[in-house]
Amino acid sequence: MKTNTFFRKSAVAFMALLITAAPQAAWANTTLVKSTGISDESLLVVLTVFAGFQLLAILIIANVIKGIAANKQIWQARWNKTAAAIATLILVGASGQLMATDAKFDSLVSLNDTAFLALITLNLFLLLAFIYLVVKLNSLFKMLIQDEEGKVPESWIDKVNVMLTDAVPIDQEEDVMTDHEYDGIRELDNNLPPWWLYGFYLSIVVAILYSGYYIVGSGPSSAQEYLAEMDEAETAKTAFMATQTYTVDENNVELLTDAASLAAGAKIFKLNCTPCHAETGGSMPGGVGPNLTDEYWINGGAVTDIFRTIKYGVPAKGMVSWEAQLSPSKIQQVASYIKSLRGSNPANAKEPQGDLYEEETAASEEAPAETPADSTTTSTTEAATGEITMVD
Amino acid sequence: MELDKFSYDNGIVRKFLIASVVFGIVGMLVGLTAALELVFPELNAGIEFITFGRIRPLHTNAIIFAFVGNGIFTGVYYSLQRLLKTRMWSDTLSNINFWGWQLIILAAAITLPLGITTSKEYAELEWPIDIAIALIWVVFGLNMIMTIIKRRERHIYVAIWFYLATFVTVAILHIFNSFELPVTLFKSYSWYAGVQDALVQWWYGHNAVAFFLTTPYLGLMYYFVPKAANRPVYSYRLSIIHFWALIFIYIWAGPHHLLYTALPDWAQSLGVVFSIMLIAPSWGGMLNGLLTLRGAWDKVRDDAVLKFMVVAITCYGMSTFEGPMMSLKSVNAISHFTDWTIAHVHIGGLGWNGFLTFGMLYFLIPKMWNTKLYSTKLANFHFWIGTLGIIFYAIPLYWAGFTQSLMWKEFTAEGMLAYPNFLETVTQILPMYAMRAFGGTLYIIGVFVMVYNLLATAKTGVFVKNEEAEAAPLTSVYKAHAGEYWHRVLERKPLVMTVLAVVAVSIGGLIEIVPTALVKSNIPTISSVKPYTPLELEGRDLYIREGCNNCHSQMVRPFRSETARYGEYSKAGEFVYDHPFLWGSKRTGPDLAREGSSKLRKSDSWHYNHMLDPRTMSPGSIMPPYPWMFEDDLDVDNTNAKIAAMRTLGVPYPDGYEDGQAMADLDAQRQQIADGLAAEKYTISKEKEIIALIAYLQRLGRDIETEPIAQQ
Repeated sequence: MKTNTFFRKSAVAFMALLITAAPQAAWANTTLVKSTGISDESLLVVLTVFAGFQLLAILIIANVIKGIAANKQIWQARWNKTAAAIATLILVGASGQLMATDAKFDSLVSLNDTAFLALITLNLFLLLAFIYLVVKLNSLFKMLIQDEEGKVPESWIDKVNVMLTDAVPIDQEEDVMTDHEYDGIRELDNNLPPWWLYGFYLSIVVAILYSGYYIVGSGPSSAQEYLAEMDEAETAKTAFMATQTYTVDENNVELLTDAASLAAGAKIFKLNCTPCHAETGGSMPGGVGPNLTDEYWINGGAVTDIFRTIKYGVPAKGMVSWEAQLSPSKIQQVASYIKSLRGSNPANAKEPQGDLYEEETAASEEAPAETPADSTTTSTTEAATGEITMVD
Repeated sequence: MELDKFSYDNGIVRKFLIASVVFGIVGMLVGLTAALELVFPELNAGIEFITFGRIRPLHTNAIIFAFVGNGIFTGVYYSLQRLLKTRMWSDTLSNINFWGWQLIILAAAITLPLGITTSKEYAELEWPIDIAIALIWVVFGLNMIMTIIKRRERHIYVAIWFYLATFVTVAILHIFNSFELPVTLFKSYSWYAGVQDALVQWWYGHNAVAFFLTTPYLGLMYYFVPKAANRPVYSYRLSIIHFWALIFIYIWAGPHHLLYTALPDWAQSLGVVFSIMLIAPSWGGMLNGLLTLRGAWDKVRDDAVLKFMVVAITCYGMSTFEGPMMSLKSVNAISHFTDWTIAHVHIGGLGWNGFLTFGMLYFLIPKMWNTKLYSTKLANFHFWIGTLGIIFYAIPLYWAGFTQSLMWKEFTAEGMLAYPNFLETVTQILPMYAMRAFGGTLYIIGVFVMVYNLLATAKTGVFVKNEEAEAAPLTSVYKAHAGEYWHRVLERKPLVMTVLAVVAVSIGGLIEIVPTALVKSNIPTISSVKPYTPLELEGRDLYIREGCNNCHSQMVRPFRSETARYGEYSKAGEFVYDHPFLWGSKRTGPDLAREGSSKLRKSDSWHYNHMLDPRTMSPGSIMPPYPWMFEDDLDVDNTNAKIAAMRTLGVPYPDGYEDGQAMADLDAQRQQIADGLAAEKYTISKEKEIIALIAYLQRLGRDIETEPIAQQ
């Protein structure tokens, strides 16, 4: 039964293709979540499995072709240019596939998103080519095995179709015709498609199990899921922090003065702070936030104070907490950048607010400051009268 | 036997048909405008009546109730008469149905842009219009049932089962979701609060899709597909099973719109399991539609009607598979609040409802005008540009949804949000929004081509207002066939069938809603949660008027990515005074549930600047400016009545609070805010609306915080 063997083989080839599609999908997901911490090793495993399946698919298809070739009688009788063309296509496709697989391993060292997308596109294309080839092979085979009267035997697709729908063939449908007739519309009474019916049963079983687990049983509530998620995140964070030698907080933060840090700080500033404090840091008359370039600070002007203000915010004054948005090192960078703006005297800045702050270094190195840093007596009006002198 | 001579009323069909096309175009153009406003946030040119928040409900209402609603009536009035071999019972009722429905649409088109809205999705219309809808719907139902009673066909066809289920269920849904306490002619408060309100609303909202966009259209499919293909319906028993399974199961699935919210977990789980079981009944309809075309696929290539219907049914199958998938909690955690949902509903709306309507129109007009379609070429063009339009609409929005959701959820190794600034996740997807608007444009171009084609078709024919027909009257005695299917009995007894449909659709709603409303443990109270001050209440009503809930949720879900961004997740007890609830269903902008909390709190002046021009405070924002709130005085004429109404609904304002004290409190609070702004050099009269809105925004999320916020 050569025919059956062939059908079985093409079915297997098709299944193999479907299986290769699964790692492709997984791979696409990997791209999406790559930056969230999928390791290169697991990527390698996925790719290897993927490559393996693709090879398998190629071998199976090759085997199918061999099967056709082995059927000598048909081969000799019906061999034509179409078959040759298809065989060439398969070879090209297969080698392309192998090349693509190679390319993946080569680029593993530095996989970037563009490369990923390009490879996915390429592989999807190859997958389509595979499907196309299988369909072509199938029709080729149909053509080859036509019997004398030119009647084509039922293909496996037709068989699967019948198996799935359990429908009465169209030429016999009067057998299942009901006597119903409405405005010319008649009704057949075909059986329920088996896959549909068993799918329905399956969904009911799943629903019962799901309810049993989540409503009656011990399935986690959304609050419990949340706690588990937070625990997991905490563990991961602790583990990561253990690898960090230096952690910054408002007590130990030090002023950064190197150009790279200040540039990074400037970038953070531009992205997050300008709506309220203006690009210059000087805010503007009637601006939302205070001027950050003068010597007057509402919540303290030391780098530790600024760090604290950024980190926790000042809700009563509308300063937002950035703790959840900026990492400590980023807060350090932007705080350092802000300190670097001191005395830049931008045009159209906001009037001074808060208390005069004098740099500690200056105060300790030279003389005791006339006005203590934490003084509450230095008022905005005094500042505006120009009584203040630069200390540093 | 003597044949009765009678005529079918095509006049009423034509009226509804024209209305459907006209309002379809209007609704789609409003939708396109809304889509463009997301790309060009100042497109409304400072005109309050056409801001996104006000026209988004206009778009949904126009499409659902005006385009599809009139489409339902078109198809039902055409097919019902023919399936029952009788004219509609009363031409007067038919016309009341038509004109009443159009007046309701007119009222919606006027009130929604004015900001007269209840805020509940697809039920935004205020109480007088709600009453009108109920009355007109009953007129429709009465006319239909009376027509069924005086039918000349013994059994009722599956299409009519769907029409009946549609009638009774929409009536139930509409009435129960519209329980509201009127304050003035144009303002009411939902009878339910917080979690209960959300549950009732999404029981309604979900089933508005089920019983307004799905079941009537399945009925139309069962009439027009076999007619157009000239093929018998594939399986009678499949019709029976999927009909009853569909209407019974659909009604339970509402809570899947509220997964991971403050809704009790058991109700969420019920929503999930019934959504899973919904796949097969939905696909039963798709299969019966597609398999009816067995042996007629060659016709699909040539016949515009069938082409549209095949794509419609396929889209129905896709979105009814996708829907249950999105109801799985793990998928919903990603899809909810994003554009994924918008893409999903538009596969249904543009594909299923739109294309089925178009197919029906291409079928009906040549029939009723007794002519041939003017141009098959143009119909084919419409088909392809429409299909392309759907693709260009949906794919970018799926992409936008995945992108934004993954950005919301991404953390750095240090445990920080990778994209802490919400705005980054918005600007990232703007190109997708632009692409979506392009897809919508293609789709509308197709509709215009169709209108031209249909007008030209009508011109070549002569409209048959009353189509002559004859049929034998029913005999008073009926002898059942031996061995007939048990369901045949019900098909002879449409009233019994109607009652059974009512039973089938009532069970799910009762089991989910009643315990949530009555069992106290479902809504644990929080003692620090207090009623809104009069000014905050007025601010909240402004928030509703401007439709802020169309883009901003107020529901922090229990995910790390949300508590890191917004603070503590939302609890059921926080919403006990919220009539209506304002959880929202889409985050075009960030969640606002904790906007006033110490974690997120901005200064009054920040809000002042932001509402005046969002891009000064949030560069790149796509929110429109609200300058009129700085010009218009807050209307406090009804504040006292609102307080009294809220007390009636169970909000514990002290007795007599509205007799002077409420206004005094309101005035003191707005004075304080205006003074605070003045200190920051923002001079604005305390009378202005913006003051009330700021008061409300600053209140959000404060109740469960123990630390008081120092006054500015």
